[in-house]
Amino acid sequence: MKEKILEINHLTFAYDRNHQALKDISIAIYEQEKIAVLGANGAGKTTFFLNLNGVREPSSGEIRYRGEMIDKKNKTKLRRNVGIVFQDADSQIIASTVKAEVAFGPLNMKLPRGEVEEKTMEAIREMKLEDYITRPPHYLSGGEKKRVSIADILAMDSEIMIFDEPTASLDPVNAQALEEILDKIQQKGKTILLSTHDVDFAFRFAKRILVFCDGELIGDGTAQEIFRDEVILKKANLKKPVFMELYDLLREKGKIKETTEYPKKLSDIALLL
Amino acid sequence: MGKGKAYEQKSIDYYSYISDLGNWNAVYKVIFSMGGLITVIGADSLWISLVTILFMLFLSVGVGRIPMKAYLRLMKIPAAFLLMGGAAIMVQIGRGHNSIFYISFFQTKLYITKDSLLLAVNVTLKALAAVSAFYMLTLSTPMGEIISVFRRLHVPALILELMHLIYRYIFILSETNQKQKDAAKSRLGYCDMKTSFHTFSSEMANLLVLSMKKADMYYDAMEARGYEGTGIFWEETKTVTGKQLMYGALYTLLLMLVFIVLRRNV
Repeated sequence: MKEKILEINHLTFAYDRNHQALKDISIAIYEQEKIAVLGANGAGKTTFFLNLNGVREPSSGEIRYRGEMIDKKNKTKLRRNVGIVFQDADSQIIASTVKAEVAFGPLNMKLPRGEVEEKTMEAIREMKLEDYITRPPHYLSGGEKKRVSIADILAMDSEIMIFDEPTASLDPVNAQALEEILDKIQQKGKTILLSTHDVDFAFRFAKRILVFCDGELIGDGTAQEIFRDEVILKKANLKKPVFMELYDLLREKGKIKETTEYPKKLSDIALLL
Repeated sequence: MGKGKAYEQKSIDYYSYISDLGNWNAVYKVIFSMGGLITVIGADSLWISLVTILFMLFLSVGVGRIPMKAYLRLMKIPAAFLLMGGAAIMVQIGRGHNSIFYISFFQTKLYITKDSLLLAVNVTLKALAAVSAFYMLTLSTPMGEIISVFRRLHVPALILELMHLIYRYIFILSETNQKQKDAAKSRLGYCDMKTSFHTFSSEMANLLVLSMKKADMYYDAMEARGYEGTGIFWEETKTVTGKQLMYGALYTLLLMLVFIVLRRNV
């Protein structure tokens, strides 16, 4: 069993008194997990992420980081160990050159200069941004900005990396590249949490899926469990992944071998035919 | 059409990122251009101004490799004002004693004397030299580095942080407004004068609301990366090299030469 990083118990969050954005959420996040968070716009995904990072404080409930209760005094611990790549790269980028931008996080962690430089350059190399280090962000393309915003968080070397709708506004080539990056990051021992509206992407990528609906966590399980649960799918207005439907259809017609594990790629289906 | 405009808008900032003088030590560049400025004003000499204009042109275009065309285009804006100011100094109104050139103007005369001509040329060149000395700095030093020089001068951290953020958000603001404008145009928002005024005011109101909303998000994003009330930004350490000092020495040498020649003639 992998070790538990975060434990959230009965977390509730409200922006105002009449409306709770998050209702009684309890969940645990482990090392090296690949989690996709699904749910309609306004279901509470982003608020949930901000709570995990300590930017928002829960109205009630508790968050434990490696067993330690998080309160006002040690919430910097959360910010250091949980990084968020925001949906809109422009809302995240603040410095006037790419290098200064990526170095912002490590500098805030009060690391010595040498280490800041090292971590910054490592993240920049990882995201293939070497040619852009002196470039100001306003002369970068959308895909390049996204890579900068990911390098921002990579440089902070947090254990959990959250991506808020990472593939939104990316073209297919960049989206494909992003998927590879995400896999690489996870293989390096990080836990990845991402929100998306693309069920096929979620099915392909995630081992575990969380479903939010109106501030409630209505589903938490493996990809297969969640997408088989008609009640959850209906409630959260989710469609089944294409490969899952395709497999069901082929099985109905008796044209594919039975398997316990749903195919996630075209090559998986080819093997079963 | 829109593209050309946008290009003009960002150009002065753009060149500071492509200039080969970009890797010069920022403090040195500030001292260099300030030194040039003070010398030009203090010396009050036509030749010193001329030497400075040419030397700064040599630095920005020759060494910094900013395209000559772009440099002249950027110079045109201040030059237009300075030439008009120069013309105002040069031309005098009155009876026109010792004029070298005059035209009748209603009851009186507009005329130029040798002194007024010299004064006008001197003042215009002096101002142009001062501008080109500062262009050498602005066209080679990105905003971030200029701010780092201010930090060394012990300007309060709050102001520095504001400078950083304002610089970044100017571009976001203008980009957002450009998008608004395009969307409005596509819906005939600028079809006539009255509609244009109306659309423009709605755009501005919307921009304000948008800014307020986004400011919240930007703050969240900063906090998420450990911002705790003081913005610390990365500063590259760029050492002063012998080559950089050589250009400074060359400039000083030229100035001294001009001084000596002028002394002899007096």
